[in-house]
Amino acid sequence: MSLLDVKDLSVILSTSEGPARAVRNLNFRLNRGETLGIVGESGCGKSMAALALMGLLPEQSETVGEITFDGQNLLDKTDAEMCQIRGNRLAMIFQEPMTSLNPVHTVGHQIMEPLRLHRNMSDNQAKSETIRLLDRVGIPNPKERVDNYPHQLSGGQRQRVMIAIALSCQPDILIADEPTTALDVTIQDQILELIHTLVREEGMALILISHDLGVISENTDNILVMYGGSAVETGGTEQIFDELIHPYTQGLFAAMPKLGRARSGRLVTIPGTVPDLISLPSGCTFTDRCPLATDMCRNTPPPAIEVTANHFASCHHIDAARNRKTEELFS
Amino acid sequence: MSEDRSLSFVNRCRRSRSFVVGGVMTAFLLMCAIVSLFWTPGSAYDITIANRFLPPSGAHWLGTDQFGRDIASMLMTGTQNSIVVAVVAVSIGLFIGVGLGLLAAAKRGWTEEIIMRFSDFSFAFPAILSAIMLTAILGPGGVNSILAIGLYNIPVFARLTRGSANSIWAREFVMAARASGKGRFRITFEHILPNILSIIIVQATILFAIAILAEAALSYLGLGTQPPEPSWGRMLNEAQTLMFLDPMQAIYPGFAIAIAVFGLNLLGDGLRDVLDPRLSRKR
Amino acid sequence: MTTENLPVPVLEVHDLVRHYRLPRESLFAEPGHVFALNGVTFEIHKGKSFGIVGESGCGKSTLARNVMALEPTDAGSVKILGKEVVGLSFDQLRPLRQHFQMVFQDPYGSLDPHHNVGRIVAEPLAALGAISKTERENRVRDVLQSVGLKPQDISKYPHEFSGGQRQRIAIARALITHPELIVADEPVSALDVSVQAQVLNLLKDLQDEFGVTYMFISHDLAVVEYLCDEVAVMYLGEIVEKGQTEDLFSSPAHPYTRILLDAVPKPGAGKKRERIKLQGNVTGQTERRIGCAFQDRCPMAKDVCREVKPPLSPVAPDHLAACHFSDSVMKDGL
Repeated sequence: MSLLDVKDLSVILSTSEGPARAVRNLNFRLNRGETLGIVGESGCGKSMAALALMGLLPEQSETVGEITFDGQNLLDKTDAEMCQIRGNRLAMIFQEPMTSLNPVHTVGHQIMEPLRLHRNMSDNQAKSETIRLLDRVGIPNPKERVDNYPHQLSGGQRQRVMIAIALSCQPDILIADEPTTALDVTIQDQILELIHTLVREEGMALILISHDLGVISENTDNILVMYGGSAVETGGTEQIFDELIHPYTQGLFAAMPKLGRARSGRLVTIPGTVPDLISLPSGCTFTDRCPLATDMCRNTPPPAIEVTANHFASCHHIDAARNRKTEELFS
Repeated sequence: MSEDRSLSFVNRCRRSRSFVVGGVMTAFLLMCAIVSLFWTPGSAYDITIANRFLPPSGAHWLGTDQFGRDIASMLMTGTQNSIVVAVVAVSIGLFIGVGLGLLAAAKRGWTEEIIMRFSDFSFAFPAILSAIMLTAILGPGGVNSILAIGLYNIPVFARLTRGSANSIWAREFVMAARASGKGRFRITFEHILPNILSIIIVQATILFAIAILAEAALSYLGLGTQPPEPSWGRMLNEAQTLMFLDPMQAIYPGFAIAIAVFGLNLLGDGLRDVLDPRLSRKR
Repeated sequence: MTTENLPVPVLEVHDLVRHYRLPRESLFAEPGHVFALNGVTFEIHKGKSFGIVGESGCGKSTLARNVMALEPTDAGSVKILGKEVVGLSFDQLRPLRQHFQMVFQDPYGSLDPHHNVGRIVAEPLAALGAISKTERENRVRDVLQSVGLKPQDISKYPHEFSGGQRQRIAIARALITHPELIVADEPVSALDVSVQAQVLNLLKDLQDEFGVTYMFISHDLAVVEYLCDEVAVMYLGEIVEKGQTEDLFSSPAHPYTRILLDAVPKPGAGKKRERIKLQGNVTGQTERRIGCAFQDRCPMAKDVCREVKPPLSPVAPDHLAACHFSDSVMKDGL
């Protein structure tokens, strides 16, 4: 049995313009020690999926489906029960290291809080554990840094503190939602390296969410590509980069400027813009921007077709998508 | 403005309960003032001792006071007075205060420093105290109370305007305007003012209520509108010696002041929701 | 390519210095300084794209604002089409502004929400003095068309557009006076990948069509490589390496450039990629240091780096680097 098994997960947000299906029929599994990357552009539902796992969705939303974590369906849990799981067995780090720390408390205080809450440590134990954790996430002079306030740390160091907080209760799954988007590339490199090492050494599972195919490609075992709330392609990282199948994945990869490939011709572009969730078609969410789209795409959700072992793509025209080159597809 | 945008504006107006209730109350007040220009149920000026302390009746809706004047008519005519004082006083504060605030934000440096220290200085005196000082120097009267309240409003508007204008000056579209070669004066009127207008309007509504309150307080102290012009504040003052004889005489003007202040505050809150949905707490 | 026989550069920046004064911490303390630009020199020729890359706090946005004459410059010179702009008053600058325009990073913050598209796009025409209403409308229509927007969009407001379309509006605004130079400060960083590609292609097309010159600022090396002919790498307010894009990206001569290039995650490269690790964080800009700006984080820093500041000197034709060991960096890496 997998550590985490998500079945038919849908999230419906009620907005002033009507219901928006932020996540539709998402399926994935995650085993202990595995890393899963969720990649997609803004509004594709990747953050909503993560918040659904954590039980942190906004109040005006409805979640259906099943999230089985260690044999229990998280969607059946009460708020109080979720509080026991959240932060303790499921931990999350966010994009903004500037705003996710409380500016009026020392970083030590903020790491000690979950230790006392979930692990019933005394003040002294918690303090020494905090120093150990800060050292673990690579903060120099942890004994002095414990008493620093967030504004005294740099962006990268704050993200390290966030990771220390997430680690404090030895979670089974770490969810990192765009953990390095606000950071410079050299710092991003350090943070990703740190997450990678920690996940391997602590035996956690990792869900890494990013808009950056490069970040996902270098740090995960499996990939889930999302567009307009639904998964369009899933598979092993190497499998996917061996053959990008779904027209969206192909377009996304081709639209990205890549180092060393430069100035040779133009970038491939996907026509149109990232859609807003209210006006999406009921069938394939990529219909409006897809060069292969037909009426069937608009009205019938495409099934996930297993192309090679464990590599799925959800497309009605999978053969056409596979047989044509990207440049041809989007021109 | 596009159609769907103005439509949602009307919708927002309708959905904000405080806007509707406050608007109705304020409209009622305005109507009283306008009607009283042409017609009042009795006379607010004629002193007929024989008619003193009459109970409410068809001729005197709310009865008469100790001089036999019709209370309903006095309240209605008093509305005129309150509104005129508030309108003029708020306008003084609005034009001078907003002008100074915009100037401070546009010029920065010493200009800003002087304007802001000056308004800090005038903030140090409680509003009513400075009004009393001013009327003590210039003598009591309607015009002087307007002046006193207006002067108090200047730093309030100046501070608010300068604060909000500074945050707009820091936005990228202002940088873009400067890169286009627009001067500070043009930017102030084309970009800064439209973007802070809703905040200023809301503040003006609330200061309008405060001005009515202040006028009543000055009249109560005998420093505002002079007899025989009816005024809510002076009605309260005259009624206080008769508190046990005829308490309703104090309650009517008190109620009028409360309605005016409450209605305008509601309207201000409602306007905030309607004009700037980002500021309202609900969403 | 040699530069000697070319006409006057569109932009010539010489030894530009900008130090911000920090507010005093106490009444008697000396105020601190942020050394945002410490002597930056480069020139851009007509029809070329010049990229400036660096991490946050390296001074690249300060450089953009100083080139645009949007804030006072402490020392140095900025010549646009051979005309000095440093030291000119705002009024003296106004007639010159039609020759250099700017595109900003945030497509949400750079358009006034209270103005419609027609008014936003026409804004720079103010610098041209009086023009007739029909002339103005024609120009707005033409420029909207060249950035791929419809004439009906003129009366719409910014909130009716997506991020990518807003950036097209911002580009139209920068283009309407037919400027020689467009300074673009991270124009695609806030956009989604699929939309970013559209805007980058648009910038390329406009350059082909109008021969406009770009000073293109970005933290994204791949984007700069795609768009720019020449690149300068900035670190702590200085240019540490400069050269033709191909040369600089294929054989970087400064350790910082090499590390930057290496830190960019590459899709499809797999997990086992060997990386050079860069220790420490970006050093503060509030202290003046002796020697090389990069000494604290450089894996190959020697004593000489802490004592002698390496000058920006040629390492190959049209390729300059400020490192004592640039030869070995180019040959053997780090």
